[in-house]
Amino acid sequence: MFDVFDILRSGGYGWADGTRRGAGRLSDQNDSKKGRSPPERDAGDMIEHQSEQHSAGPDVNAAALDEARLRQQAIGVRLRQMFDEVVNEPVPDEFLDILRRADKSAENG
Amino acid sequence: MVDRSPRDPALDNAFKAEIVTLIPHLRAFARTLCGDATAADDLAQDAMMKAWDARASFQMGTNMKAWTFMILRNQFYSEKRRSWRQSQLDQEAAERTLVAVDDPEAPVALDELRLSLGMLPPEQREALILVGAGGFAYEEAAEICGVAVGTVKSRVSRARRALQAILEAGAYDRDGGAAGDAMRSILADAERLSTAR
Repeated sequence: MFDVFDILRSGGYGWADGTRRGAGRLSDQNDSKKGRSPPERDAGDMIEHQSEQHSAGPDVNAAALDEARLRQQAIGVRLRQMFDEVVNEPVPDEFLDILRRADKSAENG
Repeated sequence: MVDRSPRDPALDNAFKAEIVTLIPHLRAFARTLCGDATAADDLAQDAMMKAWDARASFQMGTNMKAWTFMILRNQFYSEKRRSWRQSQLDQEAAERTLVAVDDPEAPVALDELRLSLGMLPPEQREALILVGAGGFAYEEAAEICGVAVGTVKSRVSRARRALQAILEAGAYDRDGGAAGDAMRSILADAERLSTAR
């Protein structure tokens, strides 16, 4: 479950903004030929680097806040995706039929 | 109730053209309220008709999306009041629907988000959906739900925290298997969608 956030934190995705954007850009470039950027490759390295950074640095709270923000971003993106999945479905004919009928009855009435 | 004075057909056509573009959004919002896809489409159709019948009271050029969402939401809650017992079954129906995803290729992790959303109190869920997925400003969401802006803000923030806690605890989990892999695929999709925006 926590992989999601680890991937995010690794900066492997462009939308995980903040201080770790550099790594994401790099991996984007490397993978741009294939058109997709598999997250697995760079994620491991980056997570290690960051956990060192977090435990060593004085800004543990800041890091925790950062992480919470990234988790919220991940949830937000998936929330929109869930919604957009339905938005992008083709509209059943029924809807337009109903509107067409309503139109007729408006003309007649 | 309904304005019987003759309407400009051009105005009706403009109204219709705009409401057609909103149908996908109404369906999506209805789906988050009902869970069950068939019931959701019934609700969206009812809302669309109610909006059409009330078109004389709509000022063209104002926010039709927020207006229709408000109609849909009112419709949902008035139906729910009428058949409270039935609505008690919504949750089970939702879970059945969510397990049997329409699109067999849809990533599993989306189900987990849906199930987690289902665990939120309805007023928190709808606030989060409107602001976090529907693209509404807090002010618009407040108007749709008929509450103060501050109420929406606090509902959204509580919903976000609760959702994160549920997801992290894995409380949504059905079998506990391969959740990580599902998350990876969902994140890949999420990235594609977010960049497409």
